[in-house]
Amino acid sequence: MEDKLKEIFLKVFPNDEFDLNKDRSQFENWDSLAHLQLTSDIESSFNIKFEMDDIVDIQKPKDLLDLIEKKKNDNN
Amino acid sequence: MKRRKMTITDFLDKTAAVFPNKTGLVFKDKEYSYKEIKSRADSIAKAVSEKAEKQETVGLLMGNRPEMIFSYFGILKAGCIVLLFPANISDNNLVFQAEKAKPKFILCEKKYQNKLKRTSLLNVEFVEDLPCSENCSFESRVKENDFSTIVFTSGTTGIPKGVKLRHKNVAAATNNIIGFLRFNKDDIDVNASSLSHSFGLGHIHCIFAVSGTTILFADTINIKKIVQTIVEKKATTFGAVPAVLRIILDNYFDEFKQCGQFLRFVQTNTSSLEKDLIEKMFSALPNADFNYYYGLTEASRSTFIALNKRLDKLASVGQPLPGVEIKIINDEICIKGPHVADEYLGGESLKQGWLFTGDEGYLDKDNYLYFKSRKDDIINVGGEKVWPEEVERTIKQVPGVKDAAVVGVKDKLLGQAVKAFIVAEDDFSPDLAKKHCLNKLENYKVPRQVEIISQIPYSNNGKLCRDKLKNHG
Repeated sequence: MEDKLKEIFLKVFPNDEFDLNKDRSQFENWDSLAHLQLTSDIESSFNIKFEMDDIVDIQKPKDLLDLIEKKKNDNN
Repeated sequence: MKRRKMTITDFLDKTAAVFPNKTGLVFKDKEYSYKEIKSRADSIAKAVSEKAEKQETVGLLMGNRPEMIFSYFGILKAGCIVLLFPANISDNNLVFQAEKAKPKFILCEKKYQNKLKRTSLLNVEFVEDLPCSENCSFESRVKENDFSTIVFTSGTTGIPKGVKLRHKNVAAATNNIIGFLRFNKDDIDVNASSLSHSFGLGHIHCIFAVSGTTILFADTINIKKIVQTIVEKKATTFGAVPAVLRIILDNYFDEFKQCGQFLRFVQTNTSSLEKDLIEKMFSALPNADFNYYYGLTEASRSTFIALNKRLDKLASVGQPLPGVEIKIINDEICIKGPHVADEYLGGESLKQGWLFTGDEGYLDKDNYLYFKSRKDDIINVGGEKVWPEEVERTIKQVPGVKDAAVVGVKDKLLGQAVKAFIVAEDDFSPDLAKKHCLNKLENYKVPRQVEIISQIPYSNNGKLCRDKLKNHG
C-alpha cells in the first residue's frame, strides 16, 4: 500500500522525495490545489472516498497512509 | 487617520509609528506587533541594501509565512523592486522569469533549495540565514514613482510578460479598495490566499494601511480550521477564491453561518460565479456583504460590487472605482487610471494610457461592467489562471504527439479543470503527456483529462476552434 501511495505521490510531486513523516509545509509544491489533486487521485486509485474532514486534517504523507488503511478496513 | 499613503512602505511605517504595540499579524498563534513587523522588515532592508542598489530587482520566492511579509517590505524599503515569484512556480517558469527580469539575487526559504539547485539559479539568499533583529531601524528609500513590483502574467500568446507596477499604482489601488470595502483599524482579516498573488497581498496592503490585524494561514487546505478561526477570533473580513467558498458552503455551511455574527464582508475575485454559490452565500451570511471585483495584474481591483446590495446586477462585476475609467473598444474592456501599470519589462508601454485587457465585456446604462469572455480562452483552475497555449506547447514536445489542443472543462470543485485533446501516433499513451507536463508545468496546469482524437478542428483560416472541443463528446 505504501508503494502505491508513493507512486501516486510522486506523480503529483515529481520533484520531491517521498518521506512519510515530513510535514506538508516542507514540500516544495504542496499547496491547496495539489492537496485536492493528490487526495482525488488516491480516491480513484484505491477506490475509496474521503470525507472533507479527513482531507483537511492531512498534515503529512503518513496521515494519508493511515487514512487509506482505515478506509480500506471500513470497506471490508 | 486620513489615507494619503502613496508608497507601499508607508502602509507599514506609518502604522508602526502610530500603533507600535498593536498586533498586526498572527500566524499559528504567534502574534507580531507592528513595531516588530517593521523591525524585522528593517533588518531585511538593511541586508538587502548591502547587496543591491536602489531600483535593482530582487526575486522573492516564499510561501505564506510571516517572513514572506517581512521580506517583501524589507526589499521595498531598500528601494529595490520585488520580483514576485508564485510560490508554486515550475522550474521552467522560474528560469524564464529570472532570465527576463535578471534579479540581483533571489530571497527564498530553504525548502526551495533543491529547486534552485535544479534550475542552476545560484544567486540566492535564504531568509533563514538573514539577520533577524527586533530593534533595527532602516529609513525607507522609496518614492511614489519608483517601481515596486514585477509580476509575470501571460498575454494572448501564453508567453508570460513582466508587469512593472509602481508604488503609486499599488497605493492608488489600495486606497480604492479601502474606500469601497471600508477597511478600518478594527478589522481582523483572515487571509489564507497566496501572498504571491495580488489577491492575498492586496489584503495585507489594506490591513496594514488602516492599522488592522491579519490572521495569516499558510494555505486554504484546512478550511475547517479557517472557519473556526473566524469565529474564535471574531474576524470581520475574509477573502477567498470561489472554489474555496464552494468547499466551505458545501461542507461547513452551519459552521460558516456562525461567522455571520462577526464578518462584515466576504470578498471573492474574478472567476465565474455560479448563481447557486451566490444564493448559498446570501443564505449563510444574510447580514454580510458579498463583494466581487474585476481586476488584472496590470490593473488591480478596477471594479467592485456588493452583490447582496444589487440583486438586479448579479451578473455584473461592478462599477469602476473612483478615478478608474473603463471603456469598451470593439467589445474589449479597456482600463485607465492611476492604479494601472504603465510599462512591461522590456519597455512595452500602454496605448495612450489605456490597458487593453483581452477580456470581452460591456457596460450597462448604470455604468456596471459585465464580463463576457476572455479573448484568449483562459482557463481558471480554482483561481489559478492557465493559458492553453502554454500547455499545448508543452504537450507538443512529447515524442509521438502530432497535434494538441487544450480547453477548460467544468469541474465541480475547482470551477474548471484542464482537458487536453491529442492527435498522436497509434501506440501513444496519454500518461506520457501527463508525465511530461508534470515535469515542466505547475501542477494545476497539468491536464486532468486527456482524450486522443483523430483531428484537431481548425477554421478555414487555420485558427484553432476551441469551442468545438469544449462541446466535444
